[in-house]
Amino acid sequence: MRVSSKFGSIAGIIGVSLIVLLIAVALFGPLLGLASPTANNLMARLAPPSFNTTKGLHLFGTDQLGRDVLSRTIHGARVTLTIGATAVLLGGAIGIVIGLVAGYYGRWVDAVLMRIVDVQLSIPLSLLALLVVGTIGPSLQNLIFVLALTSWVQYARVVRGQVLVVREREYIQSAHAIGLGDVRIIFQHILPNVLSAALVIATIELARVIILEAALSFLGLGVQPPSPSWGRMLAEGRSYMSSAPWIAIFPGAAIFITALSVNLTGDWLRDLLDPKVT
Amino acid sequence: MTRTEPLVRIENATKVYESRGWRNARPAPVVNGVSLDIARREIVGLVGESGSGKSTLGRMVLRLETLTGGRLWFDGQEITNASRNEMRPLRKAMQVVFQDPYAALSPRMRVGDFVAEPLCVHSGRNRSEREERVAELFSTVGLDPALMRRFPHEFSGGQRQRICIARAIASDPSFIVADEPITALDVSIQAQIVNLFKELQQRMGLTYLFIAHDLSMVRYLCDRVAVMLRGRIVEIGPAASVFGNPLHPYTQALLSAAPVPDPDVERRRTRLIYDPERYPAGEALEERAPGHFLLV
Amino acid sequence: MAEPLFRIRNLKIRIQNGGETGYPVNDISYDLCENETLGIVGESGSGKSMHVLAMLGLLPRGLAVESGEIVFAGRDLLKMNAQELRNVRGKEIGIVFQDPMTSLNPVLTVGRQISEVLVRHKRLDWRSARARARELLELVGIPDAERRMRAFPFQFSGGMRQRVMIATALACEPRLLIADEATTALDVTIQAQVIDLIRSLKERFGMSVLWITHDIGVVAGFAETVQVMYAGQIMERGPVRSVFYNPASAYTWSLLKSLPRPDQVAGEPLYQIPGQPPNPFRLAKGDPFAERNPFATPRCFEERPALRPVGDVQGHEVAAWYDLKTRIRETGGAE
Repeated sequence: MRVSSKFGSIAGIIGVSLIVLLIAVALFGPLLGLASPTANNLMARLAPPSFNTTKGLHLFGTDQLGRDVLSRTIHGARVTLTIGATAVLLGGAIGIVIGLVAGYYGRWVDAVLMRIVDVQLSIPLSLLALLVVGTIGPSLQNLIFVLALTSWVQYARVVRGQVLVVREREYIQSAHAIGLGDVRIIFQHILPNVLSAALVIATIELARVIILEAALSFLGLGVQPPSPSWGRMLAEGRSYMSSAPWIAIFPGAAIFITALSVNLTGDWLRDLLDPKVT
Repeated sequence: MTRTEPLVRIENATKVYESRGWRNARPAPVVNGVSLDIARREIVGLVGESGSGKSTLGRMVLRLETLTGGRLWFDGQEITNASRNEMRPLRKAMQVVFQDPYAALSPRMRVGDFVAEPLCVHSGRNRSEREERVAELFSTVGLDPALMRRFPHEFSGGQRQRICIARAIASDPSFIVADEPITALDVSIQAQIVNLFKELQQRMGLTYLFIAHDLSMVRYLCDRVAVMLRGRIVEIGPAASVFGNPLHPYTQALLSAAPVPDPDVERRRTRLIYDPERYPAGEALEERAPGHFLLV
Repeated sequence: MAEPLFRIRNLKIRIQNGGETGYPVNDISYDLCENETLGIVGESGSGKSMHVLAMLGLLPRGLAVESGEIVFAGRDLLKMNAQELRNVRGKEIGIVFQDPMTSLNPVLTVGRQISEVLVRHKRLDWRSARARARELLELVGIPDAERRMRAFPFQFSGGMRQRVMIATALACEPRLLIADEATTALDVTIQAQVIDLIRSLKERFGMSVLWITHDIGVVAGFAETVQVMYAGQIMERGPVRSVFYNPASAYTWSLLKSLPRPDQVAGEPLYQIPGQPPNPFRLAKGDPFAERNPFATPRCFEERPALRPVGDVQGHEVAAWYDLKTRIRETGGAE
């Protein structure tokens, strides 16, 4: 037990450090004076990672247009993290409120909201995203809106399920017995007890949103070129996997590290928020 | 409003849960035509097997459940169909203590805030006045006020039940429904909590509806006892009379089955079995001894 | 006294939690004879259920036997592998837990579950196993057994499910039946019926019964020997009449005293045991009950007492430094 709790905190420290590092990179990386992420250099196309400076320093190599992969990855962190975090927060806020309302009020409110959830779940998410972006046009705001739209359902379902359990607890009955209003019961007594479940969903969703963003960007409906996002880079690098794998590997690794650190942090936060463990 | 008027009056109360799904079979009522008056400062015990409707009746009296039929008064005011807003001022006067002190405390709320909550709803005190009152309540129920900043998981079952009781008396109520408040507690703690209930009743002039299945505790604590069976009160009367001279075959079976911590008594007694098939369901309560009614 | 059916010696169970070590069972030793009915009384944290789980190899994660032995019919259960233990469990030791709903598989019919035990342990074929299962259901008083064989656990009431569990436990005619809070979740009238049923089955099968409960009243009626546990230790054990009428442990005395008597004067408060139940992670070095015991002597706080005989009653033992009657007289009772 001691080992696991220690391990838990070590994992948490790693996760938090990685996230801090990623945010620092996103914020300050562009100030390092690297090559512009959008500057083409056809002379230096598909250069492998190296310290050799004859064609300019390209630690992560260059892509098919000769753009510096390191610089693009760093700039991509900005774009990807902003989109991912905003979409997850927005989707989470919508989903949690809908889940709380559906679970707490039950009856027809629940029935209506959960049917909407069912409808949305029966449409493939990427198709829904395509449809919406195709209709309202690609832009950063629209992309975030679409990603949030595909995300709220998960929160709503999980939170609703938790609320159904918590709602029957005696402390909720006792809250009714002292005459508390619905808003206070929902936000003071129910929300804190379902938040850790929502947090777990958020970590899974963040990883999923980043990947969906990549897919949309690949299809030309997400981040517009030449602005770099990891998803776009990954998609573009795919056709060069055998000849110039670094184009896809670095943004891919960035996505992996981000998802991992978010998950580690999520677990650690959940333990931290649980009054029984601290 | 006279002092002799009962604090709580239930008349012919019925509760039927709507059946779910498409089957239209009308389910049997959980509470079926129960009438009961509870006088001020009285402790009424409610006993019966699980599923007899005793907990549902307790929640109905507090209007945590709606009534399917019948009428309900509290302190002279009819509240049968009172809305949530109409109920709110009355909530100050009626409180509840539940069976499981582990499920009754909000796990992510400091126990002091939990106890203070009724004060936030029902009085205009500011934060420091509230804190003072919480400290006072903690002392009243025998807890160290220094503990009010802790979380529930740091307390034992008996301490948690004291916290629940502190919250229940915070708004200075006149009536408390205690739903099996000692069942989940360790044996060595039960007497502490029963004594606390008794002491608070005497000090604050409280009225209790005490739901329990430990017959010896009910006999000790309650003025009157009502025995419930399948949603109906089959026998009700002064505790001494019901326990000393049980009239309904079910009450007799119940008393003959309650364990007695005395080997010789245990070995000598004969158990009575109550067979519902052999007895008619009963129509109405009939007075057989002063204040002692039997469903016949 | 007959030959012991099992013997526990110096059993110690350790729990680890976040760097803390506790002992929910702290060095207990006792014997259970063939045909004996032993009632073990204790509250949560007394170790009454925990030591039985160890005996069956069912300790939850985080708990481990640190030392000691549990010899059942000549073999040390703690040295057996999982397969050997499975053979003992269900075949030689039948178990009934508190919650029959979680002990029965919800998707198999009751008949199938009892038959399975017989097929597995007794090597019966399915047809004769079924016939025997029906007999067992009749034996435990389930009406219309033939039809109920095909029913699923959720179709039974709590009391009836507990009867099914008893039928399952008895399927292989075990030498020992362990009932761990088996009637706690049941209504009083149903509890009485289940107790009477087990009492009559014990006569019929000639088995030993280990009845574990928090309710001291439950064991008064049918246990021959009572063992009172507290904080992982045995505080007192002995013949039921001697323990109830002449308790030698202050803990037993307090438990009995805190129950309301039928002739209790209304308004007179119940005797209440002060303090809180023990924490297995912060065990006192002396007598674990000392801090809640109005009769404790200085020595009780310093040194842990071992079991010693009480008076001249055969088998009555207490773990206490004080002589309870003398202390009650000296202190003028507890108030």
